[in-house]
Amino acid sequence: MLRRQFIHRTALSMLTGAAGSLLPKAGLATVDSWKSAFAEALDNNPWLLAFRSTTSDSFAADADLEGRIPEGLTGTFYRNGPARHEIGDFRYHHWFDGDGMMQAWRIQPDGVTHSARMITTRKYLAETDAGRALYPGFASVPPDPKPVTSADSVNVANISVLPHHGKLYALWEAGSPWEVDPADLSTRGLHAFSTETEGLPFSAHPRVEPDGTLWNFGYVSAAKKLVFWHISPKGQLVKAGLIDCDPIAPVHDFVVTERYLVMLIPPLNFEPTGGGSFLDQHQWHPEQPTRVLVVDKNDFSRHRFFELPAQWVFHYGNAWEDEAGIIRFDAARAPDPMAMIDSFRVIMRGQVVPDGGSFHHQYRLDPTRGTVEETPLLDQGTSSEFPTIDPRVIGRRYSRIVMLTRSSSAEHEMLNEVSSLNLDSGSLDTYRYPDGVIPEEHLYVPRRDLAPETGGWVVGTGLNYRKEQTELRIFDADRLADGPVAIAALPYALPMGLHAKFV
Amino acid sequence: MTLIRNLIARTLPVRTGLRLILICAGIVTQPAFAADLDVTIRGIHSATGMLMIAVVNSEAAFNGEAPAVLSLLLAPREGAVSFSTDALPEGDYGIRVMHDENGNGDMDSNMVGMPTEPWGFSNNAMGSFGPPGWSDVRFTLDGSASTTIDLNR
Repeated sequence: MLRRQFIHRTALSMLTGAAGSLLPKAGLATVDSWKSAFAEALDNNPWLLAFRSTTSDSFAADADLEGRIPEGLTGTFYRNGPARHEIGDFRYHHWFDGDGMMQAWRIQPDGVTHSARMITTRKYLAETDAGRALYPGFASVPPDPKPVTSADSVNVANISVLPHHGKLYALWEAGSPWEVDPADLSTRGLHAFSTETEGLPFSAHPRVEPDGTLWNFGYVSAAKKLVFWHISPKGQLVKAGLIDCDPIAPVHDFVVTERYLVMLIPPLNFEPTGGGSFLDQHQWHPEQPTRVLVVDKNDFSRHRFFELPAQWVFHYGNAWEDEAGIIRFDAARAPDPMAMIDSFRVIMRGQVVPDGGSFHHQYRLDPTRGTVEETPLLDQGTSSEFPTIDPRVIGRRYSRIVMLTRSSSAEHEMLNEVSSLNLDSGSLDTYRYPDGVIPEEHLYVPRRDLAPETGGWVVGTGLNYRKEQTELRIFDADRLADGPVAIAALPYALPMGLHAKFV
Repeated sequence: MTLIRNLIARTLPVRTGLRLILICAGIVTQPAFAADLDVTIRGIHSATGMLMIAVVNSEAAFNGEAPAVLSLLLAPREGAVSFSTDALPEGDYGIRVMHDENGNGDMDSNMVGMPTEPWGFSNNAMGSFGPPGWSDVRFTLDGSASTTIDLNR
């Protein structure tokens, strides 16, 4: 009944986008105990500092440098991520609910400077002004919540960063990009590519080809549609299109090949009950397949679904088509979305619930036979996440994946290594972070004068929770195991972030 | 249009301090048991374009399958505007407000039908994962009623 009613309403017209017009049935009358529970847990588990709410709305410092900046490496390493996890007495119930903070690590021959600033979204400003949480988020519902009137009214711009055509954007995944000043990191406003596409979801993982051509997607849960974006190197909308996707899931990332856009749609189905948060409107169906959607770049209406056993993927490395037309891609494959549904929720009150982990796999999709094969890429027991590649080989044949891994125990519960995997030789080059430091996503930063995937550096940040400082490390990309050639340490600790880009 | 002009000329069923652009009333004669309705619309962020207001008295009319009993086009001003009418008989009503900011005569929406201009409903109804329904917006006009609608975007 609910379903029929829902479809009827959808057919009328959708008032709101991916987050839906979320009117929780009943908020809690008083603020709950999550904030005090976390504070108590942090006293006993210092590594939970990674999830502490930011202590300031802006930061700036010259980093303390150990080692030397390699010759030829200059540029800015931008990182975004959830940072304000608490407002007033309320602490969010999910890692992904924190308001976004943009960081810039500027690497020059003589040193590294850092700055960071909260992204002043509508939600951030309204809640800062009120001194309390006002709106439901991705997985949190504060007491006496206000209704969500549009996805962008609760767009916290907290997942990733996109440099494109001289502009810088902070990305959420269910609403519009927020434009940020690349120099002083102040927030300029919501960006619309056209009137027709205003307010439509723009995922946190656009793929930008070497010539600047940008592809992206977004999920519109309430309408059970996926939107696909094609943006020119100059930032102009070339085309946008909708594809029906029923059931629909909160798809996080995708890959591109020369001709196709490819994504997994796990059976975490949007089945709204109307109560609770956006995440609460989803049901995991392990008995259903994970669909693989392949879309023609030239014509979004030309697309096809394939099937895999139920599984969850946050992130992919890359994809390409071989001579026989086989589409190959890699991803951090998890058996289910329990990390998102459980672990990243209860961690906010300081509880650790191990999830099944994610393990890097290579996929071979044969469009002619209609089959998809998956093969593990790392030793059994080595978990991985945050795969990144040389940005110059996006959508083309590639051999190098840089990612975070974990093959041995650590004092904390997060990934504790950075690894470079050579897909051709199968060799794995790994640096194990010292206990006391939690690495964040690392990037492969190529040398512009060398051929793709040769030489260059791996650059990444991490939280040293023992010294209570955030640090940036630079590695020779071919010699990760040797350890960093430089470490730039800040005089403060930042909440653990999500995605980064280097320009 | 002639009919509407005659209608406005004969009896103006709406009072407002604002420039009234157009009224289209489904009720031609003054009802026997007229009630007073006062409506305030808040959260207007610009004085451009026009406010499109529809007062409906049935689910069919709310869903656009039957005419509204009263349609108004008001010149907006920043902040709030009000209007009142005693032309409506007692009964159940709902109100739909759209702010056509760019004045193109339409409620602009994106590819999936999400409005890209401000909107609001009586009872400040929001709906859940979709627009509100008749039961969410319905209120009873019994002698007199005043209602405030906050525009959203």
